[in-house]
Amino acid sequence: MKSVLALVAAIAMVLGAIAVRNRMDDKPTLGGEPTRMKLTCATELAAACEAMAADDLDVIVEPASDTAERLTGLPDGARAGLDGWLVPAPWPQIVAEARQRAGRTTVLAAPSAAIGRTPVVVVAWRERAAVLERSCKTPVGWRCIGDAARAQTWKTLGGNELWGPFKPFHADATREASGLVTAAAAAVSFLGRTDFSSADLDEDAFTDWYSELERSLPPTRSTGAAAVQETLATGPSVYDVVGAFESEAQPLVAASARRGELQVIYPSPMVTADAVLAGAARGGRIDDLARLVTGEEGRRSLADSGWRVEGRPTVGPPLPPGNGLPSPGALEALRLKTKEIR
Amino acid sequence: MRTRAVALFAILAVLLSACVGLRKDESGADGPRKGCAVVDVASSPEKFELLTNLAADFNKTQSEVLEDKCAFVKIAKKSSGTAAQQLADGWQETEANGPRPTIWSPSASSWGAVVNQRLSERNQGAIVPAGARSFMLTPLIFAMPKPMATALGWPRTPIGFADLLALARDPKGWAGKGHPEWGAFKLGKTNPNFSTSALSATVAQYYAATGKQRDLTLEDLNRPEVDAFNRDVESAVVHYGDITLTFLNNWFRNDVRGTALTYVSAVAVEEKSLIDYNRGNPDGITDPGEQPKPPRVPLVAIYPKEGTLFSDNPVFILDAPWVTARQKTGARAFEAFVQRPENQRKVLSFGFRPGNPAVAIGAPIDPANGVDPAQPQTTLRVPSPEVLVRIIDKWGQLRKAARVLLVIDVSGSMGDDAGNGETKLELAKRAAIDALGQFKPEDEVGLRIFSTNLSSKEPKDYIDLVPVGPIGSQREALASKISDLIPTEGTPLYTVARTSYDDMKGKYDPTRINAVLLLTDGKNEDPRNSDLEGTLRSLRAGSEGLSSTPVRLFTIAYGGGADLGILRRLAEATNAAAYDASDPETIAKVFTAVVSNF
Repeated sequence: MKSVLALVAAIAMVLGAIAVRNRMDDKPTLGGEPTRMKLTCATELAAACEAMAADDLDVIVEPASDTAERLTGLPDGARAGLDGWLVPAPWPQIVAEARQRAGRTTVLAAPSAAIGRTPVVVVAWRERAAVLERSCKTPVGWRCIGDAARAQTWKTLGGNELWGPFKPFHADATREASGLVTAAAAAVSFLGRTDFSSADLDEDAFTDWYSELERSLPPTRSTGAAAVQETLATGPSVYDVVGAFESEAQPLVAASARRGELQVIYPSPMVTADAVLAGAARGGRIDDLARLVTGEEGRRSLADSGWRVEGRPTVGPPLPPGNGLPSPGALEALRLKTKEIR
Repeated sequence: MRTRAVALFAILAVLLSACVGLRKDESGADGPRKGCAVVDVASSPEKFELLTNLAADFNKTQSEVLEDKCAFVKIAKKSSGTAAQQLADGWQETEANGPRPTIWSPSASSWGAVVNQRLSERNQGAIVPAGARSFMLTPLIFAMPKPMATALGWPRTPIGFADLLALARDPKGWAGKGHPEWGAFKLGKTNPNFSTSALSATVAQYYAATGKQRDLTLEDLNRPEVDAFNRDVESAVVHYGDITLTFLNNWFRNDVRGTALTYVSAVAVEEKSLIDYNRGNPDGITDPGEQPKPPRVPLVAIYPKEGTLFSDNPVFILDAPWVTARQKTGARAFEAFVQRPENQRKVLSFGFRPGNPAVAIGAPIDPANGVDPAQPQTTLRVPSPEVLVRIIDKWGQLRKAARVLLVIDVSGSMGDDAGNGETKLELAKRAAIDALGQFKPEDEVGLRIFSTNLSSKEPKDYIDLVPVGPIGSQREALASKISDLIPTEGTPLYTVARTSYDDMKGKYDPTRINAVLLLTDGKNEDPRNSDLEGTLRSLRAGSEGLSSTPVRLFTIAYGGGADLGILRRLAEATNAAAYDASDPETIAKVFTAVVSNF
């Protein structure tokens, strides 16, 4: 009897040891399908996602285009590999339209209403913004920044020759949500309307102007938040103006020892990124995840990471009712145009 | 029955401990708590001390973290260029290479681009993530003695890279600026295969050569006039090397002797190094009892008006196959820890600019130390990875050619066991043959061996096995002669150091870096010449002031029996450097570092 008990105890210990070893090796535990919630987040929402407290939540952060391309390429009937995607609109629509064009069925359910919003801002060094404004004869906005990029040097713009070339920044429009929304803000600023189509983007005047802007940006680019961080740490030598989401820029500028030398500009017309949750069309724990992300926990996490959430105090000018963006199709055309230029 | 049960439990206990036992690195020998993920960090040398302090503080905080979430950070020193090469080669975990890192913090992000580019050329995926956060910053500057900078119009007139390079190419040198007593313009610059300041300076040099401030292309690099420009600039270089410290130490010694203005005119270094120098501490490390004394001639920072590059000290959490999710989590916790304002203030005290902008730039980054916190006003764009890699490759072709005499000790003690079953001579021969590959075909290299009574006729203490000549045509002969070496008698160190130096000086070639590379495992054992002071006087006399034929004597102290102190004095008498290979197994690495001077 004792031997049998010893053997049972021994087997239990070995199984326990294997389980511990597996955990240490970052391998999934033995047996059954994982039942944890899987939330994929766009880079710009990383802080909010990582702050959401839930023991059974796995968060993956990646550029919006990576998720979009994976979802677009999924064969019909395949699982999305996520329960929900928290991303600025209209990325879920971009995926839906791309799948429709390819004759594939939907992989995502209709997205939620905006859970949080953030406008596109420009962080600029005051001294240089003043020169820019004089040169453009308008408040600093994307049209002005694009024109300055065409002028190429501060000397041409009437500034100090030692400031060198004019150096704007926005995140990669072909990869990051903030890059595409900012590029859209630039296009809207140049074209003067939001209802443009791919044909408008192919007009010579826009192509020339937009090409100059995009080519003045560094070829290898970080996120808007990283660029704001970099410009605050290095001073005006690396970037003169940085386009980013307010949620990325404002907290960093406010905490910076050099905030007095900087200006956070809200270019007109105002364009916003609206964070939405798009659940997988089938399977998984979509409802639980929606309750978490669109509920109090999700709203608190978004607000704490700089997103504007209804009913919570905000700083900065009021937001317009709409996001000020063109259609998902026009945005996708702009993304392709950017790829082509580079 | 009871015995059987006990035996069964004993066996199971062994099995259990094997299953849950810690990984090799988590042995506990170095202090990690059981179950903590070990996060190995490969750090560039200049922040090793700082990161080690911060890691110790971080590890203390981990005692309050749950076992399955805690991390233990271990810092290892690794030069940026060497780490880049090891990562591109898959980082074999040998004793010399050290553990595979979870975090890599080179001096500048550009090294990350170099690694990813080299991997992509081998059809392998990128392992260095984009957009890593900077731990701390320091811009590349040209350090110049204040009187020289003043002669160029500093601080009122902005000085550019092109101005310095024009001076370097002007045959009149400083005489054209009213100071013939300073001689030719001499540039100090390290080797871009190893050193971040050299990589940044070489990039800036290409921008100056093309007249561009961004968008360098491969076509730009191949233009004949760009090659010509770069050859001219390199011709002003005194010698290269793996670290800028060699220049700063020599400069400081010359300052003490009153010859700071003739050793070198400007050196491409990081702002942090200039601050250390002006505080009287050129190596940036205060040894016990050391009383830093500021130099007589302070250096000032020239921030090139065309722009410069920052060493941004990124914290790369690698996407390498050997990095686990637990290690990444631990790495992110450490990354956040070093960004805390209280830790970023420590960065400032080391002479770096904080990576966290919440901490204001302040002393010692101020004019009192020869630097300007409001500079630089503009930066040069880091070129694309393929252009960056091509710049490094092109530098190997365009760098100043060398004329080097390899002087190798074949005394009896070289036949001693190196500790791995091979003799010291065997290890040294292999390292020397491997190092021959670092020379370019236009370099001239010769081989001399030395030991007492090596020959029955004069000179008795050394033999020239291969005369100094183009390595392109005699690489095989050199390798073969090195391979045939056998140990003989004693060590006539002073005689061979002096005669080798004199021989190279006698056939000095002004278009080349002229140098002697002397390797020895012993002390001077020559009863006919034990005059160290006389040897030093002779070497110094040929190297001080406006010496028109500067020959550098680089020395390697090999094995535990070598006298590093004396070898250092011999090297420093010629404004060169001594290298420590007291552990014979490091000889290959040391040879590579020494040959990086040429």
